[in-house]
This record gives sequence, C-alpha cells and structure tokens, in this order.
Amino acid sequence: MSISEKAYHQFLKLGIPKSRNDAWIYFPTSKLQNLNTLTPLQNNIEALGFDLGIETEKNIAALIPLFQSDKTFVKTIDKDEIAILKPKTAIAHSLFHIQNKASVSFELLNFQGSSSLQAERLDFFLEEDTKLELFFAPEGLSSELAFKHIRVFAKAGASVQILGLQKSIGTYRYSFDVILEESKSLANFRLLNLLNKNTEAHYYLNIYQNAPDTWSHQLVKNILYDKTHVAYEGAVHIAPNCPQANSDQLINSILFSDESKVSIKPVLKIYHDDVSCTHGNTCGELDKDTLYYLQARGIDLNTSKKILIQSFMASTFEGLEKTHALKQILKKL
Amino acid sequence: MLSIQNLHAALEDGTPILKGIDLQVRPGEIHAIMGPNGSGKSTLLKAISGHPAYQITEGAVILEGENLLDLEINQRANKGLFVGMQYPIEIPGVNNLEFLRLALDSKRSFLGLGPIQEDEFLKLIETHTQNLEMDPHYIERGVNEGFSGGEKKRNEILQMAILDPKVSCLDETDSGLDIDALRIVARGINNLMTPSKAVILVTHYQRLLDYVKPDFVHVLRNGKIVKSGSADLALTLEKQGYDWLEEAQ
Repeated sequence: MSISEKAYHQFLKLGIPKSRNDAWIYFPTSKLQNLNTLTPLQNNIEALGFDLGIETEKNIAALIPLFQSDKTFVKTIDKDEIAILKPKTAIAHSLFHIQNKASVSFELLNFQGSSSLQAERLDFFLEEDTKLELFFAPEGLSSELAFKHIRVFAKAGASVQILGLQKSIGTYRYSFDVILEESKSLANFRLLNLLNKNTEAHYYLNIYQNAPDTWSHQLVKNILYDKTHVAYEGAVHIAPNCPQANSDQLINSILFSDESKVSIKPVLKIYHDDVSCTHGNTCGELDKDTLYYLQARGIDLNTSKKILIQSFMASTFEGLEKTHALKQILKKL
Repeated sequence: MLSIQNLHAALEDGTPILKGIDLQVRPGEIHAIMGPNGSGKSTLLKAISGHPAYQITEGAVILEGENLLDLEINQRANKGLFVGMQYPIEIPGVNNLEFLRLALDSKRSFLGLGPIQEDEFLKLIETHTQNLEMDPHYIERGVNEGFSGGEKKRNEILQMAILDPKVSCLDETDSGLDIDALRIVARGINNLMTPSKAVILVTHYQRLLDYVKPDFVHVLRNGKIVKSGSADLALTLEKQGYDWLEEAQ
C-alpha cells in the first residue's frame, strides 16, 4: 500500500472525531462533518525512508495532508549548513532531513485560497547537534477550517524552537509532536495569541522526552477579544529510565470580553522519578494595582492599559536569542 | 496647600475605613502620620490618590483650590500629588527609563509643555540616581523588576525626584531599608523639600524621623486622627506605644 493509501485507510479507521473524543473535546466538531467527503489524491508522497507513523497515528489532522497532497516537498539540509527557508506557497506535505550541525530557520505560512479546508503537515528529522527554528506569524483571514501538523524528531544535542504569533481569524487546529529521542535534545515552544472576532484557535502539543537529560519549555500567552476561544493541550511524556529530564509549562491569559474563553489542559505523563516538571495557568484581566500604579505616576488609563498589554505580549519572547525568527515575530508585534 | 476635609472612605463592600479625616498641610511643612497596624494610614494615601479599591463616601481633598476627588488618578498625579507606595509594583517588560520618561512627559503635557529633550532627561536621571546612590543598571531594567526591597524604595524616591510633585506622600518608605539606605533615602527626601512643597510621611518608627524632621506628627487610630503634636510626639510613641492614647481618650 502506498503512503497515501495507508493514510487514507487509517483516516477511515479513526473516523471523524466526535466531541467526546478527548483530543477534540474543545473543538467545534460540527465543523468537521464535511471531512466525510474527502477522497485520496494521487500517490506521490515520499518519506525518504523515515517512518511517518501512519499505522499508529490517532490524529486525523496528521493524516489528511498525506492523502490530500499531490506530492511531498523534500529538502535535505547538508551537514554544517545554515539555511533560512521561506516557502513561496504552503505545501500540503513537506519533509526535511537536517543533517549534523546544520541550522535551519523555517517560516510556516498560512494557506491562502478559497478552499473550505486547508491541511498541511511537516515532518522534520534532526540529526545530532542541529538547530531548528520554526515560526509563524499569520495575519488576516484563515480558511474556513485549517489544520497544521508538525512532527519533529530530535537526535542527541538537537534543539527545536517553535515561535508563534497568532493574529489570524478563522477556525484552526495546530498540532505538534516533538520527539526528543536522544540526550541533550531540547524543545522550546513560545506562543502568543492575539485574537478577535469569532476565532477558534486550538493547539495540541505533545512533547516526548524519550532520553535522559532532555529539556522542554512551553510558554503560551493569550490576549482575547470578542467571541474568541483558545484551547491549548500541552502534554509532556517522560519515558522510563530518563533521569534529569526537565520540563515546564506556563499559560497566561487575559480576557477582554465576557464572551471570550480559554480551555487549558496540561498533561504530564511521567514514568521516571528523577525529573523536574512544572505547569501553571493563570487567567484574568489586567491587574488593577498595576494600572493604578501607572496612573498614579500621571499616565492616563488608556496608555496604561496599552503599556501593560505590550509588556504582557513582549514577555512571551523574553530571554530568547535574537534569531531571524524572533526578529520577524517582533516586527509584527 | 493640601486640605483634607472630613474624609470618609470605605472598601468596595462598604466596610468603612476612614471615618472623618481632617488635615491641613501648608507649603514647607513635613507631616508624619503614625498609628497601629490597620488604623487606616495606607488607606488614607490610597484614597486621596484614587485607588479603585476604595470609595470615598464623604469629604473633600483640596489641592491648591481644586478638589482632587473630582479628578482621574493620573490628573491628581499631574496636578502635583505623589504617593510613594509601601509595596512598589513590579512591571516586567516595561523599561524603567522609558516609564520615567512617559510619566514625566505626561505631566509636562498636562502642564501644556512639550516632551522633555533627550539630553535634559538623561541629565536629570544621572543627577538623581547619583544623589540616591543607585546602580545605573536599575534604570535599564523593567520597573522594579527583580529589585530588592530597598532598591524599590529608592526607585520610588527617584520617581518623586523626576516628577517634582507639590505634595509627596510616602507610605512606609523606611520599611525594608538598611541603615545606609535609610540615610540615603532620607537625604533624597530632604533634598527635594523646598518652601513651596510639602511632605506627608507614613511611618511606624522614629528612625526615619531622625533624618527627616517633621513639623507635625499625627496619630491615626480606627480611621480618625486622635492626636496631633510636634516631633516630640513621635518620641513619646516610640517609648510608650499607642495604649496610653486609648487611656487618654
């Protein structure tokens, strides 16, 4: 069976998720009903010998791009190479093999077009001591329903940093599987959602720390107006016999409307004792005491609010090296 | 200069805290307000500056002929009222220098002046940070971010110096200060004091008043001023506590 056929077969096996499905519990599953009509396209999907995990995949968003694509965009980044990649158009399935000590910065684009469904999948395979930086900063209208699935495998000493500034309008679900396969690999995830109108932004992140001495960090900030909804499920899985694994997760939300909401689900699956894992979640309005403090120094209320919002936003990306991705994100802040 | 008249204030749930405060502060005067915990000292300063946790139920606060209670919080500040906080707020991500500039420009705009020139502003900062023996690095950090208790208090005095208010109200500025820091902060207050300005100090201890000599000392108890006197009153309180006041009443 071809990759495309396997993916379609698994998609049919899973069926369209219902709201009682744990992984889709916050998603407006009524928007998924048209997925019943999907049929596979031609079979030109490649995997360069890597395992795409189709038979065990439980996320339909990871499967749809594999049977809805014409072909795979395949790119190998050679050893020691430094690359800044920005695709001209978003491609449904892309696969990157990043060889030892290479460094890559890649911008995830929003699909543009009239289709009611846009689905994209990217697979990254990182060899030893590589650096991958993924970033996205879409604005404007997304398609009616959009899926993005990103899967990263990291060997020893490899690092992946994912930076997101989300301002686009629509209903979308970004899912990430980051597998830290070997020691001294790390994942850093920073996301700022600045949303309005009826936007439904859903994030589903799985970090698998499958080796000793790995590190992961998640920092998510939400500023929500109107009838927006952000759902964030951040799961950390620490495998047995993985001492000195370190992980932290923090989600802070400010809601500016009674009709906006956040749904946060931290998941920690830890199968070793000698690890350090934390998670935290706050939700509220702008701090009244801080607003008072600024005003008590002569600054008017509106300016005080703007200052605090700006400070809240900027803190999402604090402490990071000023890479190409960070500069692009900060430009759009 | 500042006239607090029959001021009553309550918490949002209606619990009364201030129950009729009367205080007259003339130019050139330093007033100290003392009193046991929970007597309403901090509330008094927050209430006159407009803290949203308190509602004024009666009274007036007149600064140079205008009732501050009719003004927004920032307008009260720009008119010349400064409140140095007991627990200065940390604002990560907001640069201290930019914050000071914005605060000063807000006041200048209120007074019909344009933004301060870069050179003039930096000179002002340099002068006052040196006077307060502040590490210049604190200026580049977020407002009060990671500051020790003493540095936060110095930063409050720096803000006071930059904004040059008519009436400065300092809420337990001496708490958390070691002896050297207390001396430096007190010097900062004295340096800013001129015959046209006034200071209200809220404190628990005589030690600040050894450096900043008050013209009047008032004792606040259960939301009211129960005794006023000269600087000697603070010495008596230091020796005898507050119980004798209760007996005297």
